Amino acid sequence: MKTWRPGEDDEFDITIDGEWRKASREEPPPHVDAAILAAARTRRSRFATWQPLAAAAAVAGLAFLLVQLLPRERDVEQPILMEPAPQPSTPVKQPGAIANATIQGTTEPAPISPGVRENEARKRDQSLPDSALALPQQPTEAGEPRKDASPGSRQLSKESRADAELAAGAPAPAAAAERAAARAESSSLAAPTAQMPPAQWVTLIETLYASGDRAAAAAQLRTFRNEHADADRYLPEAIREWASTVE
Amino acid sequence: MLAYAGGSAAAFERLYERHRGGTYRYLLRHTGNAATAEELHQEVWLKVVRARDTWSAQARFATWLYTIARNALVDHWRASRGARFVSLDDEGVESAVEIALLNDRDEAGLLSTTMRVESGQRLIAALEAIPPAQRDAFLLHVEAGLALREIAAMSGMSVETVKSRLRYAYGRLRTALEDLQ
Repeated sequence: MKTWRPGEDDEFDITIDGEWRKASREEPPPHVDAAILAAARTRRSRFATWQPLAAAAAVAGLAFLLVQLLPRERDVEQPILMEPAPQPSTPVKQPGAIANATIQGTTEPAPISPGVRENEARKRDQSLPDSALALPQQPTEAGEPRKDASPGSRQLSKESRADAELAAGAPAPAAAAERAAARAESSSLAAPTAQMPPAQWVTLIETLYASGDRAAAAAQLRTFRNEHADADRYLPEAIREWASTVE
Repeated sequence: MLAYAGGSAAAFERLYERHRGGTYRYLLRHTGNAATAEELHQEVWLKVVRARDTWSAQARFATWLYTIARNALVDHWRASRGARFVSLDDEGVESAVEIALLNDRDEAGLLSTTMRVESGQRLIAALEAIPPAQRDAFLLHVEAGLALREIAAMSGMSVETVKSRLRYAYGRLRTALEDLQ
């Protein structure tokens, strides 16, 4: 043990500290410890009673947020769903077009307005010679190369364009009209116009009229009238009223 | 303490385990009465529990804890019937018997401690005999483990004053052990 001198100027005496720690070892009695720890836990358990309430409030808040978000999603989808698909007055069967559209996986296509459709028909009419009247012929088989002159290939490209538009999601009636018009043009160019019997003219005009492509139907009607003086006589009753408006 | 404030009851248990002995002995050495020390010890720790939500880490937990203990001690002395209020900073009281009377001490217990022969017991008896201010500085140093700067901050004294008190306390304790060498 270290020998100390009275009045020694060292306020930190390690030996005294050590002796003090050996001597001073009292602890609070267990019942005091228990009371203090119980008080601390009681406060915690009181806090814990709020935890389920807080969790429930959080869940309710999340549910409210979800409910608030759902109508917004509907609002985004509504314009697409509400858009009425143009229905042809006479159903035109286009299994290939439907299959293409299905394969492409497109959603509702944007409808083509009648004005645009008429403009396209007008352009097509202008590109055709007036004498281009002939019997419709079977289209060239797929994959077979065309060796003939450009009018035929031009018409084929029109058909392909119509098919492409169908595949790209153009509305079925409009695409069908395009397709019918393109085929009619193609066949009329491929065959001599004099060979087109009136019954086929009528069928073509009826098809165009039914598909809604009034401009193309009118163009074909004019051509029909040019070729046949009594063309109106062959027309069915259903389109005669319309035909009377075509100059 | 922050962990306890954040909801960890285990954090409080760790805190209590670390400081329970120190606070109890600090109060016991000042009061000289086990029952009073227990009562004050419980009061101090309940204050810690209650202060959980408002506690901010502006100082070390031990400094804050012993400030509460010191204030509880002063309040106890103020409220003691028949006892003259003695500040922990009062350095004029030096007689062990006078301190015992003023601080509600158990006189019989004090007399028995003076009869102890072992060095540790002599130290305890000697500490009981020195003025409260020196005793407080010594206890905060050895039981709470506070630095001079921390003791000075919590008692509102300069570091030099605390150092002087400690020097005085150590000198008295050395003197108490001299005849054992």
